[in-house]
Amino acid sequence: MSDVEGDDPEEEEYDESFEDSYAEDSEFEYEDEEYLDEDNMEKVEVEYTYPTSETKMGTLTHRMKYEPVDVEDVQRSLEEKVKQLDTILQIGTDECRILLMRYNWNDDKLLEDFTNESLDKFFEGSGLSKNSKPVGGWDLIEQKTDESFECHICFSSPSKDQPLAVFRLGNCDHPFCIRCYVKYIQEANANSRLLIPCPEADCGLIIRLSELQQLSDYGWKERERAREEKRKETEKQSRVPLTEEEIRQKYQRDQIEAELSEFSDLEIGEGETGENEEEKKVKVEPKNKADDTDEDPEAKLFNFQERILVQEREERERRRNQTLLSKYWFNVASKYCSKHCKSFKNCPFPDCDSLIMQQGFDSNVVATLEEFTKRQLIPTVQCSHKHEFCYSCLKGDHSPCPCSIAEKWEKKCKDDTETAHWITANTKDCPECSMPIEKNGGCNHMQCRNCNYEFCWVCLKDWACHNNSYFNCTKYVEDIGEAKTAQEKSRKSLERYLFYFRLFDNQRSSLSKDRELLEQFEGKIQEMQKKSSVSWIETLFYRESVDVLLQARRELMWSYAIMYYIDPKCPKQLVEGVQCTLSHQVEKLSRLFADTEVNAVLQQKAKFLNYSNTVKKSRDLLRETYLDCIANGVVKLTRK
Amino acid sequence: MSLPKRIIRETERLISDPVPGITAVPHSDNLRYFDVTIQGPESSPYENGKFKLELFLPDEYPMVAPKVRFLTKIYHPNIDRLGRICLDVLKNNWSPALQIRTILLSIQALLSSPNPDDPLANEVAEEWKNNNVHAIATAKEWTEKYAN
Repeated sequence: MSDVEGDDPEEEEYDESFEDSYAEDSEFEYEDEEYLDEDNMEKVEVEYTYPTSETKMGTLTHRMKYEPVDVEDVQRSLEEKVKQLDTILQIGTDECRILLMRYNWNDDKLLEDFTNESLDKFFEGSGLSKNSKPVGGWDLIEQKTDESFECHICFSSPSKDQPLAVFRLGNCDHPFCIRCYVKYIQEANANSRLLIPCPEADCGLIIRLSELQQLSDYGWKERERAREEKRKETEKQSRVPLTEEEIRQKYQRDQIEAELSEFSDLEIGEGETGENEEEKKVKVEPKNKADDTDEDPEAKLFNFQERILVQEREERERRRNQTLLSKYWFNVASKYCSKHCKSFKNCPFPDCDSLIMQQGFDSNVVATLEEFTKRQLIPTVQCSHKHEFCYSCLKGDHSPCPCSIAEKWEKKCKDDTETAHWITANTKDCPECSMPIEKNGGCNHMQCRNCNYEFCWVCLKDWACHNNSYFNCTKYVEDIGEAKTAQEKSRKSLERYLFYFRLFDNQRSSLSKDRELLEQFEGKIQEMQKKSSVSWIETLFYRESVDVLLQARRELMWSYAIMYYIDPKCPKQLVEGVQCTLSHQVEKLSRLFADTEVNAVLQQKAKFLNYSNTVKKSRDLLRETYLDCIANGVVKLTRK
Repeated sequence: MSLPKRIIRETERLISDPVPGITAVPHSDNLRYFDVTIQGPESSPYENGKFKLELFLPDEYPMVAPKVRFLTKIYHPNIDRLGRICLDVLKNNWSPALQIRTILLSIQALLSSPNPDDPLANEVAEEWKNNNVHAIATAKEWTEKYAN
């Protein structure tokens, strides 16, 4: 076993399930070691909640270190362990996996028991068959026609003309109808069971992964078939010869063929020479190597491969969380992480199975998440599917607004907004006692019920000075100077709240509208991509600009929320100034998106890059300003 | 929701081929709800007693275990005052291949061999371990008093 002995003090804490110490064998720690030893950034993907460890003003950001992990990554590293164990025990990977799960992946303890105990005792109660047959190759599904057979779960029997598909484990003779078996696994998955026994009560054999694989495939095929049938049904009804999906597939096939023939012709795609620098910047993300070979066939080939990869990935995504096996692996990974990582959280986005592993903090003073959030810092993380969320409260990203403030703000919006809106829209304050008054009759001669003051609704002046003719209220009413009474104060605070709420709400609605618009656009761009020779990478800048815009809008939105909580006595000019700049630039970028036709997108590339770059810069500035101001105590957050 | 084939078959068989000492009759208005009686097993403190239970088959049955509860008061270390039963096959060891019949037989077996080491009613279990003679006498007394 090649696991590195960690001398990191953090590792000591993982030991929970066994009395013996076995903490040092986490694969993730292993990677961390590698990072320290070789300074090899490619191998570890430790990310930070903030790009730099301090702002330009020198404020420490105490950023949190984390690692976004896919279930597939965990799966890969666990499978590695299984293989390693199998080279020693030689009993088959399926069996090793079950043993490792029994030992909570503690292979040292497992090997110790294996060498110390007799083989019989070791395998006793393990749920493994002593003379196990490997599953490989033959089918465990059988079509039963024997009428005397009865599935012990659903009590169905086959008949002569209707055979029953049954499934049995390789090592026992307890066949059940396969649909029941699939349901049984579903139920076990829903309860996060990892060691699932044969459904027969006194059998006790644990279902092996390769057996599960067969069930999973069967379940998936059935599901697809049902979907297909349903589709055909609707197709019959609507009498459409080809569905959209089929047309799309056919189109894609043609496209791929065309693409392939293009390679043989060694045709060269056009590129705008003036923008090469820009293009390179954008293309760093997919793969570095493709940069310089922009216009040669190799790059074309790469683009093509990339697209195939994307398609494969999409297919995987479709199956993700939908097959028995993927759900099972999700459970395995979650269990493993909960045992072996100090802290990990699942991505809260629907249907996303990514995990975020917390890897400590880049700080001398902050050691826990509580301490981190106490300093009004926001642990914004990005999962491997690019979903951004707050690691602490598991809501969508709300930076630069700290968790506590964001929560208060949302609650306030829920509670107060409706009432507040109504009050401002429908009432005026009594000029004498500031009681909000709703006008329920036509006459403008008002008398306050609270203080009996008589006044004119139009000009809010004493009724007496109207000399019984209220049609000459043309005098402009000065704003009431200082807030004298408590009621006036509350009115002021309401106005203040509404002011920021409107800004917040406006930004929120713009955000959702922009998102809608851009989603439509995205589709069009993809179409364009298919029709012309534009490669996937060449349009990447667009997608990135979209991300920049949406993110900036979100940050701007939350920066308004935070403004409400800033103590009014604090100087706010600085943040307001930055806010103003960002807001201006966001609108500019948004305008560009709205004004650019799909066909003209590529011509406007430079503009897009330019604008989104400035937005990005201003956004970083806003973030930094808030960080600095809060850390230096220039602005204080009040706890309303 | 129509009743699954499995439940219909099981009910039919319970009636056509009853288990000695056990009856299970479904309610006419809810075929998932059964009135159950179990005879106290011979040479146990519950001998000659007739214990009433209720049994309910949840929607997910047979993927999850049926819910069973004693209605008759009983002095037993694995059955609490509310009649809830501590039995592995009703919890973790449930398997969809088990049936109403097998579950009721397991409960009957639990009456013959109480397991005070895995108690649900702690006081009863203490008594069972520390003062076995007295505990069995109480169980007999309760059987005569409540299970007739």
